[in-house]
Amino acid sequence: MDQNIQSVVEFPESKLERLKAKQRTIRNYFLSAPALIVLTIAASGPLFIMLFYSFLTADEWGGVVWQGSLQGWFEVFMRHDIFDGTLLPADAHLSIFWRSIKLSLVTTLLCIVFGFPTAYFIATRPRSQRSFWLFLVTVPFWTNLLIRTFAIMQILSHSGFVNKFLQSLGLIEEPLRLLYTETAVTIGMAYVYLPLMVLPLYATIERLDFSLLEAAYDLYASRLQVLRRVIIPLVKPGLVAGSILVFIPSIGAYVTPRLLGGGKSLMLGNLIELQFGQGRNWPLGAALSITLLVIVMVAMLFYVRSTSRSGVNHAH
Amino acid sequence: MKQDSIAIKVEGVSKVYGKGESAFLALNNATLNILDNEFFTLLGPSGCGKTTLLRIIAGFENPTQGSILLHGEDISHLPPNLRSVNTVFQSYALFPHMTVAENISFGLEMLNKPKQEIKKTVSKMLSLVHMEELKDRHIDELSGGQQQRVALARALAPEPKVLLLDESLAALDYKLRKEMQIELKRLQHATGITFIFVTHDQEEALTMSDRIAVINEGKLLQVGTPHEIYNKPQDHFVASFVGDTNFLEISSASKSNNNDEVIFLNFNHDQILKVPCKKDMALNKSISIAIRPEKVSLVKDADSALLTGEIVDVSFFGTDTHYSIELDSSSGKAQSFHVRMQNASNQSKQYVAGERVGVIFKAEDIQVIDDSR
Repeated sequence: MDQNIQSVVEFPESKLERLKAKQRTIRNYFLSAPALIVLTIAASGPLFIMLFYSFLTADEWGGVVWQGSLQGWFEVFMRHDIFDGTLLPADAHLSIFWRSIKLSLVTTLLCIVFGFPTAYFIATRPRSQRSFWLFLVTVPFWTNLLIRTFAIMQILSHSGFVNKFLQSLGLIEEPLRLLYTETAVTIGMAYVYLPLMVLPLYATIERLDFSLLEAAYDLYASRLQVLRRVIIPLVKPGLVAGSILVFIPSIGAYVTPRLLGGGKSLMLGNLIELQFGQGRNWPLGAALSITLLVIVMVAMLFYVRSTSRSGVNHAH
Repeated sequence: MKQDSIAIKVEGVSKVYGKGESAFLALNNATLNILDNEFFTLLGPSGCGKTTLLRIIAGFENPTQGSILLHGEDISHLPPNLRSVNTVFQSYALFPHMTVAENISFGLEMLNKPKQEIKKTVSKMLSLVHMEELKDRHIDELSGGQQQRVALARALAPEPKVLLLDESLAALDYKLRKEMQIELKRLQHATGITFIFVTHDQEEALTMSDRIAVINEGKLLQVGTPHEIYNKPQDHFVASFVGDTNFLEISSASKSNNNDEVIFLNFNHDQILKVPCKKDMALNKSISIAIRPEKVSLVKDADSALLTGEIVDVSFFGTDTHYSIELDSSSGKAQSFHVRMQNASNQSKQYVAGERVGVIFKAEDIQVIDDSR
């Protein structure tokens, strides 16, 4: 025992420090191992299974045959004509891709248009009132998404609130066809994901130095120029974060397009579900899932790039 | 430009914040003229209303009452972006997402100046504040003093008629502040723009200003040159806020009969000093006089002195020595009196604590303060 202490004491101090640090690192890894293992398996496991399945052959009644095939990936983009077997692009899939991206972008835009003034309003309230307004923003989360979507269906339906209101104003004679359209899907998604835009925007606007707005105003900028030249560049990180938070769930949305789109405005989520269900084509479903993942990853890459650039611009 | 034409006319401006019970009168009926090409200072303690007045001139606040005229034109209700008035903010408020040069060109761009002219003005401003080398830096890469210079250049670039400076030197350390004081005066001379400077630092106000307005509790107390403010304070607050002052309550005073506005003040051994005073000054209550500590001399011979007392404290400050004296008082109320005497090299007489001394001063160094105002 004594000898042990002796040998430790004889270590140069820096060497001792390094050894201790190393021991700490090992211990930290050891202690966080359960979490790391669960996270790794839970996060990447299903993805690898999905990737693996996309390269297998579809079984006739669902499931897969353990035989390698590129058929699933082929069907994502191409199809054979039913009659003469000529090779054609899978236009049904491609139009669904396009619709998913388009509706998600419009949803994101709508969330910015409605979320920015909301976030700005909350951030400029007296500090004591802000948590109340934030609380109101989060109230919709208390109810199940399905119930909220059914509520929107009621509002947009043939004899719903919107049509009744427009008719009573005499603006329209026949009820408008609102439900089961792309518009209905977009409205539904914008409503559902709006808080995801408001919260990050609020966080950046709250930190905004409002004397900068006065300075710009003092230097002959009109209100619009203050917004364009000072506010928007400074809240850009929040704007980008909110956009990503809205765009990603929008592009993979399932419930909202299913209920509000009425089977006509399918989005990627519905297409994937179809392949694992009625379509009985698991490899195609898996390949579509991976495609969706790639789209989301491209969006994330855009996010990382734009925030790191603005981070260089004004790192504090 | 005529030297004495009026740049900013403040006419009966009041500002009330809040309503009803919680209403707060930040500025009470202020009227003053600020001349062209003048370095004008608003001086007062924090919360006195000087920044409120500045913000009203800038257009960030609307006056509750009264109006602001810029070269004769009523600008009270113009928004800040339509006033040829620029502000240097206390926090500088530089745009963090822009470079130094972009910050300086911002105002010019908003005025839709031609590109060529913007470029020329920006480089002129950069050289004016000695920041040419740092023009492509971002704001967070600058020191406090450098940020101050950029804020000045940015506000001066559009050549405003009036430049407002809100406690602009407060954030700098002592040495840098001294440098920037000289720099500000140089810039004011170089540009010929009227500067309105807000500060709570009376020393800063005295050294930099052409004229000073002293404000306390929303009231404009006195406007004058630093010399007038220091030597002829009209008000108890002005006398005490600007420099050090001895206040003495004089119980026996009489006014001249022939109405030539002179007060006779009685001191020890029936010595009488004749001091000019205001016509409307009432003598029905005790009046007070203010005397600067450096205008007072000490003498060993108590018989010829106006006041007598005992030295309680002596502090040596190199160029001068400060004495704290407790005056003899008939009423028994202790009154301390401060004296500041220069240490001339040939001066042999030094006073020590505990010594009895006489105090003398001249009639022209006495300022009669009308406390009833």
